[in-house]
Amino acid sequence: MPKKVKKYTFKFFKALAVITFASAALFPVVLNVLASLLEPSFFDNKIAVGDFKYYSLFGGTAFTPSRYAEIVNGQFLRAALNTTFYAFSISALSLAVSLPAAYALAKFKLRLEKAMLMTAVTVLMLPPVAVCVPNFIIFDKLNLIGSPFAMILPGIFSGLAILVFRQFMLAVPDDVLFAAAIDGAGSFGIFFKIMLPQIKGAVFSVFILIFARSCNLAEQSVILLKNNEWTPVAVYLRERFLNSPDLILAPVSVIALFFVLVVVTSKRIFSLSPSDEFSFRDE
Amino acid sequence: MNEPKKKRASAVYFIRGRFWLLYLLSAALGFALFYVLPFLASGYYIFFEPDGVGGVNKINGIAATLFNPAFMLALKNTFFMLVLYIPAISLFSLAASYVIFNMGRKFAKTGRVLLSFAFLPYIMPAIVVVALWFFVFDGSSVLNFVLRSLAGVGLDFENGISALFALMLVFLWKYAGINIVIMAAAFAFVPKETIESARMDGCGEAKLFFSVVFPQVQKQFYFTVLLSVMGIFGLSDEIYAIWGAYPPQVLYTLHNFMTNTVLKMEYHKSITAAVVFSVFVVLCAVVYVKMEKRWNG
Repeated sequence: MPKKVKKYTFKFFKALAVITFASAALFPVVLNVLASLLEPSFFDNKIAVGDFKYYSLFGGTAFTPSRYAEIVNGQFLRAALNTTFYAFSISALSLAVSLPAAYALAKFKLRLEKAMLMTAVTVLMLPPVAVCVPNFIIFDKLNLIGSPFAMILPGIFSGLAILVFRQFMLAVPDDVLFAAAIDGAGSFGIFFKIMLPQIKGAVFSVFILIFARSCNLAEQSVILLKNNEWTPVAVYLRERFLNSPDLILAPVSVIALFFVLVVVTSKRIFSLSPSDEFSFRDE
Repeated sequence: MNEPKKKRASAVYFIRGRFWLLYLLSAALGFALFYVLPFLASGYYIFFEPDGVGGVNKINGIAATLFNPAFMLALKNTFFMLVLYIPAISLFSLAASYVIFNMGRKFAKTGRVLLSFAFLPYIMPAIVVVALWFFVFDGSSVLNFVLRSLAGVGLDFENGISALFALMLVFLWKYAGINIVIMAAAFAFVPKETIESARMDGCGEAKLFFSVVFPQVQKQFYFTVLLSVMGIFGLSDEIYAIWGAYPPQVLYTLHNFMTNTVLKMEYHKSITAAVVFSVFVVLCAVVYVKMEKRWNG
């Protein structure tokens, strides 16, 4: 093969990889938004081909925004507000708890460091439902069953936040902190003025991540809340979904577009490892 | 990232190290109250208060759960999913991130945009992921029309094995992006000199990757494996959202077992399963922390 042809073939495959990769993330979102605008009858009219029935793409279906009436439904709004409240309080409090803890784990010499790391890794992998029943007993003793705090408290203690922050803090050289100490900064001064500004990117990424994970709160609400008005949106949507899958197209489009907006408007690359400065091989 | 180890016995510790307890206090209390204590209490509960019967039935209560067919099935399926999904996602994201890293200067800008989009699927809540993919893997979708006409088999959420692979694609979509971001950052940290000198010594592409580049990024690679394991345990949110309490048999995992028994108020079974699950997770954590110590020093 001539060298030039080889070069262009290579370029073509690179471009193909780029396009595939980019569209892969957005593809279902776009599809969902389109589907949410279709007439409700679209999902009932199927045409039979062979042994199976298929949706007819060219069956004269019109576009209509009627599904979006689902969003102004009072129950959905209340559930969405609940989840927003849970997510914001969990992620904010979780930062407040994890940042100092990660600092202690990264920069102090602690005797039980290994045990604490193991606890963090375990909590990272453990699904909430595994500690659901014992937590129920604890909250029952504290008289918190049915209140939103029962949902918020366990979520604050996030293994992921501690592990990620610790990785970033390990990458900050000790000499910098040492220099600040010599210049007279106190322990808290070093933490707030030297350490935190250097890991801003991680704080942002982890905030978004915990926010998103808190939107998943579902099973524990059944026993911790007894299905009262504090039900999270995931439970509400799941019930609608099991009723009929096309009912939640509109709310889901809105939620998905919200997350797309978060990703598009954020200036930096989300990162869970200590460098958001990417460079490439020949850079 | 790969700082020399000696520096860690930090000078800061000797000067301003008195306040370590203040930094750790809230986290330590929270983890103890909401995770460690429940774990110990569960251990106590399953051995000493089996199903409120007490006395001689202690061991019977545990055995009844452990040899319960539903529990065995859940255990087997969880293990099978780990074996099938983890290599798939790890190899895929390793390859994809290496391709992106190798794209070079001309693609740097596009590469950065792509990497920021890679995070998008990861932050989508489970119910949104399910709704986004449901009509793609519906038995009546265009995808299935094409697949059935070309290959003769569909890929839908309806029957067992096909659902397992459809879910694998959803899993790849959701978790590969974040792995790629982490691995691309790790590759960027590999000193260029090591690559260049290996080149000069006549090292081929394959050998360059396995003997020079990969050993320098293996720590981050195992972190992505950890994240993927966590993703598989979290995948049960999606399974629960699609099929409710009773998914196809191959997808009935430990998480489903725990949720179902909690909802049916069979707390003893649920807690026994949770303890078995936690013991496995703790073992994973021990291995990970041990390995991490080795890589750091």
